[in-house]
Amino acid sequence: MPTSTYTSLATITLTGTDSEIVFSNIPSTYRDLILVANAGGSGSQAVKMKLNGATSGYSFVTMWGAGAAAQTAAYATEAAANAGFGASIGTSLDWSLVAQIMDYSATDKHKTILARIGRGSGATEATVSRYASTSAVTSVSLYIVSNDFISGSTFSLYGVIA
Amino acid sequence: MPFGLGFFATAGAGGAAGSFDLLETQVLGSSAASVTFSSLSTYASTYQHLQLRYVARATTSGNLQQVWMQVNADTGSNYRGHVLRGTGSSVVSGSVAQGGTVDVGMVTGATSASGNFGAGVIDLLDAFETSKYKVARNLTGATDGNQLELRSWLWMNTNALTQITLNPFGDSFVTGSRFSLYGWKAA
Repeated sequence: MPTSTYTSLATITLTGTDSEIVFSNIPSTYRDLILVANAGGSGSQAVKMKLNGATSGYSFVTMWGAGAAAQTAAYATEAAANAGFGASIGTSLDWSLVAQIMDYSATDKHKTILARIGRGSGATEATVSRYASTSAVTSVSLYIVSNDFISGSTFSLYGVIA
Repeated sequence: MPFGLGFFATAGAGGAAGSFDLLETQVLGSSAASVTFSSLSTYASTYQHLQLRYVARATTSGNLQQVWMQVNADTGSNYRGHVLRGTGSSVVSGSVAQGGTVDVGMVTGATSASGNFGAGVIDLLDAFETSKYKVARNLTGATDGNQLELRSWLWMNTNALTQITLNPFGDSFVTGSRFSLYGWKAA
C-alpha cells in the first residue's frame, strides 16, 4: 500500500549570523534524511557537515566544474563530510545544497551522503561522503570553515520512510 | 561562541496525502543475484515518475561493483547510457554503447570496509508514458575505491514500465542491501 512520505521535519531561517546549524533529536522513524539549504556566508569558504557531532571518521570524493576543466578530489581521513568543496559558499545568498543522508538510522551500515551543491557565481559540484560509523544518526550539523552563515540563510530537513 | 538552533517539529509520516509516496521496499535478508520490482502497472494510473533509492553492497571481489538496470524483462540491445565520473584523481566521461546491460550506478564490493555500502538515487521520468522512450538519471557513489558518478540511462522502448531489475553484473547483493521504490503523482 503506497504511503505518503517526504515529511518536513524542521526548518531554520537565520535572522542573524550563526557559526553552525544543528538539527538534533532526529527520530529513527525514517529511512533517509534530505537536507536542503540555500545560504550565504560571512566569507567564501568550504562548507562541512557533521553527523552526531563527530569530528573524525569521514571520507569523501567530489567533482566540480567552475568554468575551466572539471576537477575532482578525494580525502580519506577527514573531520567532517563534504558539503561544499569546489562549490564553496560565498557572501551572497546564492549557495545551495541538497544532501541525501542514506539509511541514517541503520545500525548495520556506515552512513553515506550523496549531495549536489551549487553556487551560480562559483561552481557546481557532486559529492559522496561516508561517515564510518554504524551508529544511528540523531543530529546533523552544517558549518562554514572559519566563517558564519548569514541572515536569510535557510535550512530544511526532510524525512523519507522506506 | 557557536550555538545550535536545532529543534524539531513533531515528526509525522503520512497524514494528508502528498505527491511523493513510498511504493515498495526490499531489504535483503540473504544475498540475492538481483532485485526486481514487478507489477508496476498497478501504479500507472496514479504516478507520473518513479524514484529508486538504494544502499547496497555486492559480493564482488574488489571495492566497487557496477549495477545494471533492465526493465520489463527486456534483455535485448535496447539500452544506452552515459557517465560523468570523478575518482579523486581524474574526471572522465563515458558513453555506454547500446546493449542489453547498461550500468545505472554502483555499489561497494567485498573488499570495501565492513559496513560500507554504496548508494544511489535513481529518477525514472515519465515511467508510464507510452509516447516516449524511458529515461533515468542517477547520482551514485562510494568511498573506498573513490568513485562518484552522474549517470544517464535510456531504454529505447515506448512501453510503460511493468518491471525494474537491478543486477550487480552477475554477482550478488549482500544481506542488508536496501532498495526502495517511490512514486511522484501526476497533477
